Amino acid sequence: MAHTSASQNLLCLVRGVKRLNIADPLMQCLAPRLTRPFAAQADLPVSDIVKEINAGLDTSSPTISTSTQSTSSPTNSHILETPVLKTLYSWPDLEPQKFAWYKPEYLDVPMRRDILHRAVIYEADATRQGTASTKWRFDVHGSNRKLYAQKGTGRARVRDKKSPIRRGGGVAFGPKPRDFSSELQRKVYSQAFRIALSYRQRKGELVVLNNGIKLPSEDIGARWLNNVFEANNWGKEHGRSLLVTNTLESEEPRIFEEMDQVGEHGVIKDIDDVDVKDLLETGRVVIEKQALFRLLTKYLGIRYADRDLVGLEDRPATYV
Amino acid sequence: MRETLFGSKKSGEVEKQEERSQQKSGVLAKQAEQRKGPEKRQSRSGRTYEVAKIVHPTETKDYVRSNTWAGLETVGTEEWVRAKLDRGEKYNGFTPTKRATLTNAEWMKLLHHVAVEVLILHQVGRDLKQVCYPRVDGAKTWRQTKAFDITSENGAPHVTSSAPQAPSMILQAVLEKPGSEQDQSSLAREVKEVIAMNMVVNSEASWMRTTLRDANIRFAITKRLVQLTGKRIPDVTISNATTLEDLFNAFKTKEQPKKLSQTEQLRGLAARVPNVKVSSKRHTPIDKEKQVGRWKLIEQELMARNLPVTGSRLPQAKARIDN
Repeated sequence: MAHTSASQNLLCLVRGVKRLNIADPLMQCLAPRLTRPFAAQADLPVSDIVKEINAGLDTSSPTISTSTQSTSSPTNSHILETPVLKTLYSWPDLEPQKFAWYKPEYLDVPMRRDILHRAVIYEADATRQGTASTKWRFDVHGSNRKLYAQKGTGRARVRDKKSPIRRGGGVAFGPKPRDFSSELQRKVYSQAFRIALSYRQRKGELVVLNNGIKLPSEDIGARWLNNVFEANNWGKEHGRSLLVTNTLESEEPRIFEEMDQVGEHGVIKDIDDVDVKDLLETGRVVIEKQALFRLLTKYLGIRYADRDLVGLEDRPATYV
Repeated sequence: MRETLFGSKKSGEVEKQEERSQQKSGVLAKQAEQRKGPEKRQSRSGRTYEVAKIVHPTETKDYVRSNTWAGLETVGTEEWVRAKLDRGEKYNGFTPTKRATLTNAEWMKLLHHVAVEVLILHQVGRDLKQVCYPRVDGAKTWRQTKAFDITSENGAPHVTSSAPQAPSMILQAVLEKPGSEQDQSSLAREVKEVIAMNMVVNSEASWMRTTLRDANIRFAITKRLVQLTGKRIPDVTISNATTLEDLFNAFKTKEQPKKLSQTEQLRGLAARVPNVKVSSKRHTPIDKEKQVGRWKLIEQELMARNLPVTGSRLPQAKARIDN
């Protein structure tokens, strides 16, 4: 049973609404809350374009097992959102080849600085060597003989000469080699990758490649890479670039070695090596589409064969 | 004695013969060298390079000393340094090496030209990728696209021309298969001629408002503009663009505000946040006095006493402006 003051408060509210002057800029923020009828749902404007695309994306997603569906978000959640358009470029001439549309829950994720912060801290902790080592009083080489009698000398009591108070003694609670790595929930860390890539995409700093990042021939090396960076405005003057490739460094070490010589312009990393911090550091991220898929679906357990759950490349129909 | 000092006739003849034979063999050796080509060696990194031939001016007969520097290799310039470092490793990208800087009117002309080409291909049913292929030799499609009118029919963009042969001329000029590689000089020439065209362009024109909902049309127009000018636009902008005007606004050179107070964000601040005031200059104590209305009196009194009005560093500036 509600208190009588509840009805009185409601009356005051109604009177307040009648006295409300919406033209006053300071009161404008209050207007929607006070003028909307009780429990009314606001209809968000959804254009026909969005409905058409969403219909296309829904019909194209294949029937999948329940295990994958539980890990990925429900398919109807993007009905009110626009798919993300990405141009796929060819390597190395950067010719636009086609458009690809990615679901907004992968490439238009809202910004969460706290999650990015947690991810960066987690990665930094894991990177720590933790090899600082000192000798405590019992590690220092020396005898444990008591220096002089406990009582009767008139001096402070002492044990051995290795006491931290004494010169030549051990360090009092100094560092010891230890593991600084912390833990972070897999889903949170996975979300951090999507947040970082969405942030880059929104700022126009994400370049997606249709094919793999390779050196054209055996003769071609660091100088050619330098020319690529300078010609495409990816280099030092433009904030440096991160190249992310699906081929591991152990499989194709040559391009990694050649890029080491062009470090002023950028850095290349394979998908096992790339961190959330790397995605946020340089001026732009140039990533192969397979590598992008792998990063967006990190720990989600979606196979590359089911990549239509994440994004579509060939759209047969025009969206009118 | 003469023979011992100056040599005999026989020995002289023998010497001359030896010289002649040496010359012959020298010439033959040179010819053999030229046929073989320059010597190739491998560097420590495994890269093969050609060894430059050392030319002695005294030994080569066809050496001509030049009096001017025309045609000679200039050592030490930026291009020379770049070429030396490149060592033949050239990179040819999709965009031209020099990015075109165009005025807004020039961008409008170029956009109209490219949009007409793409829409003609779309109307006929040809693959829109063909707009980026090289043109037929000597074809100047901008002469025909100038006269086209872009309209909307049932929500879809449509092009019409008063000249009946214009569409077929453009379609013939655009190749169906890329026979050769794109020539950067022909692309640069096309841009130059299009922007030099006599065409009245107006940002309020109706053709700017034609909607482009088809993603393929937008892709073709942006790709061709990137190929011609080298200016790339972000994917977010392409995604949000619905009309030709949106594409124009994305490609045009935006005016940079000269002062922070002229930027869009701060100009709207006065309307959105009434308790914040934005001024283009630093608000000094003199401005505060002027607001209240005291400044004219202060100025009068200081001048009457022969004191400096602004600045308090001088020793005789006894009157100071306190906040």
